[in-house]
Amino acid sequence: MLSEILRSKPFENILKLSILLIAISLPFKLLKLHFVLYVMTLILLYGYLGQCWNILYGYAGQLSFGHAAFLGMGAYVSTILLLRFGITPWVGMLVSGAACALFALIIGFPLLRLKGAYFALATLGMAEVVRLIVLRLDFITGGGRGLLLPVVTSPRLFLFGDIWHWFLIALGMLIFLLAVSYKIEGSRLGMGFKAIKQDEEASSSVGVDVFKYKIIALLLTAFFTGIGGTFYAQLVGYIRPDTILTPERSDEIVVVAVIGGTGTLWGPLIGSTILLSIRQLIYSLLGGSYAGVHLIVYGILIILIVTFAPEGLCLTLKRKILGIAEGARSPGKLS
Amino acid sequence: MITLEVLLQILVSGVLLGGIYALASLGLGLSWGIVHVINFAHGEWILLSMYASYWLVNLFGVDPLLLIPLSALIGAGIGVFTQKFLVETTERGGALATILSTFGLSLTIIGTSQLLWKSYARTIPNRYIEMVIKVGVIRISGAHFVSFLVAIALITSIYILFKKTLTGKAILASSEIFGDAEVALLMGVNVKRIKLLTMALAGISAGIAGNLIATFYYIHPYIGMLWCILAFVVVVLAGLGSLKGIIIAGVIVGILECLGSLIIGTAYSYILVFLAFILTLYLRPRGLMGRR
Repeated sequence: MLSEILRSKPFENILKLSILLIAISLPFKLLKLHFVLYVMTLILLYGYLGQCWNILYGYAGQLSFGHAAFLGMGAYVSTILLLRFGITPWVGMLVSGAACALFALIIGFPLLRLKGAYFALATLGMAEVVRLIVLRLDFITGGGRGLLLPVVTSPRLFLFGDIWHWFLIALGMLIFLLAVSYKIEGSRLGMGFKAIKQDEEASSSVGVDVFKYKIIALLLTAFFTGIGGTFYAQLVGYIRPDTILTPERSDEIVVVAVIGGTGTLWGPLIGSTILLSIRQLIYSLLGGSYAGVHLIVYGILIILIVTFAPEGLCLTLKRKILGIAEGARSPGKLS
Repeated sequence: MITLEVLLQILVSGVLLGGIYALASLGLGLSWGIVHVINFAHGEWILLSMYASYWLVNLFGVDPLLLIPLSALIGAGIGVFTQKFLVETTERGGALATILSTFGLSLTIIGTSQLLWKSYARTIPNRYIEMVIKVGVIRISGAHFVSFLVAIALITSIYILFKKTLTGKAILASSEIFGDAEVALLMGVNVKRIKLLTMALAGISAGIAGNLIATFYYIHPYIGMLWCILAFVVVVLAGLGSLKGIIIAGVIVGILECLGSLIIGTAYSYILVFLAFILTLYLRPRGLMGRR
């Protein structure tokens, strides 16, 4: 039965998955196990963010270590709009996405001329610069103290009392992104991404407008990550540079996608399920007194995956179950 | 506000700092330029050595400079470990796999130092940091000065190693920038061992850099990342495969940082450095003195 599901169409699977997840969440809602629902919401959020990252790296082959910059900008834009101008985050969310896309467009021109490792480095630097700038502009961002969202329950202001509502919205965002990703995979755009990932110079020589495709990938990833940032801010209730703009957020997004499998539709969700379960388990078992254990586990996990299952768990498991020989799909090269 | 005196001070401080940056970046330049390992754990190599000298100085009260041989040893160890268990095992995945596996190592080291030594910012009490050398109107930090001297000595000895010894020539021959690994193999060079040796050298220079930096900079689990980015900035500015470039780029970054501290404040001085970095990458993607 499992292999049947794996062979069937992703689009049906996306629908089946959402129904399944809602079905799983219902007992927890009825039993009022809020903590489990909260963790499930985080899993969906990180799956969403991992998929955002995946569009840029998994599809178009551009490695980013700076997604916290988009996440943080998204969170700050909508929160500032809400606190200063009273604009509801429902609108602010889209403004955040658009602001991140604009930012991506501006930095994309210099950054995307860089290839491979140079691009990865530049994104790392970009995230650092954004963090420092947010710290510096303390008259509007609150500097190191950050910003606090209103402590009220108001669906109009994107603040829900019931964690299940957060869960449903996260699910909706993920499903929408998965559907978009699936559409991209099969489209001309997706083909262009794939060609660039495999060999930039060769695809440019057969007439693929490499720069245009890379900019589109960056815009898409920035837009969706920015929206994710708004959701994150609303869910957590406060934003500070050292929680949302840290390298740790960028790292987690990378780890989620790499563990699950880059360039796959389901990889990031699998990765976030594993990562968040481990993280919450460590927090609940060890409490705050053993800070750092989760980073050790992430590090070892990523080393093990890169060494023994470089395609990520999603494809490796799929192969094992379906019995397809290895090497049918080669990982992209980085110059 | 900016007088000639201030400019001179910035120049001197920048050059001193630049020498240290050059040393901190040397290891990355070696691993990237010669072994083609884009080592994302470079900052954490430095971090390990910083913590080692912190504990040895605090527990036994030794002079940090006496610990240089030991930090070289620690550095060599982590360099060999990285090559054996993270690079050789992931070679078939290409450069990307190595970036990710060394990234995994950096997360592990950050986590370990958070777990064992908590997220405090620590400093090493030593006599060099308190020393201030006055030359005319200019003031020089003793720790910077001493570190600068050691850095220059080390870079010079690496230069001599490459130019004068057979091993150095074998190292250059097996890199893709100066030679060709396959040809070197045909000429009887044990390329695998040479790569291991180069990574050990990279580790040694990172280890010594960590020891020196710890005399004047604070130690924190996340500080390795700053040094990693700085080292990348310097190496990329320099261009792969240029020792001279690393020194020049180190000095440029040092001066930019001092200027940044003056203009926008110490905590944000790196903004200027990163902007210069991104601009250089845009204008000259192969660095100031790149060979490829």
